Amino acid sequence: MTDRRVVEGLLRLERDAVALYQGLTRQLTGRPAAAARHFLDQERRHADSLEQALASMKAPVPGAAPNRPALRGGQRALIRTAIEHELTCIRTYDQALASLKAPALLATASGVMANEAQHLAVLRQLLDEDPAPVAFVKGR
Amino acid sequence: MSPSDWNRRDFLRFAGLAVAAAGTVGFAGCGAENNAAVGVPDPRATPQRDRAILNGALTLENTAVAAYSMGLPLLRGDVRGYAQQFLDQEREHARALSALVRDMGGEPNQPKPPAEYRAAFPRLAGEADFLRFATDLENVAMNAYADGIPKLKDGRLRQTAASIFCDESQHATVLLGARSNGDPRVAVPEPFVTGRATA
Repeated sequence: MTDRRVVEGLLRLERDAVALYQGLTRQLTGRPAAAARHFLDQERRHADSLEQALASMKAPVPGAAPNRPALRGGQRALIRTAIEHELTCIRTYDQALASLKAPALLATASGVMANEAQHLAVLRQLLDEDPAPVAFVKGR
Repeated sequence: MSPSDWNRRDFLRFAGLAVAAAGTVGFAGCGAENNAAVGVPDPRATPQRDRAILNGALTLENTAVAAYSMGLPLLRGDVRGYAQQFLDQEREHARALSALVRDMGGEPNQPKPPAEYRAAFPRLAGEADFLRFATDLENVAMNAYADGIPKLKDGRLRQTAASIFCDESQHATVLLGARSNGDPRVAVPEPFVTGRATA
């Protein structure tokens, strides 16, 4: 798969993350809401960076609308939804790191993957779960 | 040495790292930052350099094992529990990297004698000192992995290194959270983790 295709896939994922955290900031309260607001800002930065990467490849930036998740349940259920999305992100970036070729994209991808892992740690702590249960973080 | 007297540059050299341009750290002897255009693979990536990068990471993991081992007696409660868990994980990282270097025909870097680590580390008088030092150490590790992963030729090695990078990032988040009453802006300071943010 070309770097362009990989980046397009990652951009779709990040736009989904932005939509997710936009929804969560409206439904969560207290500390979880503060985390969601902060993570929303970071996911936006991820998406912006991937759009810039496509532009630097002279590739068109897709304008598709993100998948807006159904956010149901109380605080714990909503945090669990965010955890599942972060795990999906980590798995996807893990796959991307195996196939991307350009060092600049590899640097971006690994930095974002690590950030999603940090989101995961904070979200787990909000549920009183172990924030860092495994030595090799692969999104499983 | 008190934490304020600690010579960070000497420590980085001790841990097998080089201070590159703009103050970033990288594994010593593994080449300067690559600014190749997007879409262009790094022509300097070779299996030999991959092995050197992993061996550099191993030195860092050995240092982390020594640091958590020395810090544990200073800690209590939840923080001690996390430190023990992180120590166990750093040992797993070291074992995996050692096996990879050996499989690639290299000689894995060995841990130094405890007295050498003790001399290189700052004096740790209590939990607060340890949390600052451990956070700094995790930042150094993150910086080194962020620099090294794009230089790895083998995609599977990039995945392994990234999985460790993510774990070190989670360690940093937990430590920073412990120092900031769980403030996510402190615990997760960078949208692109480089290890250059400090608390």
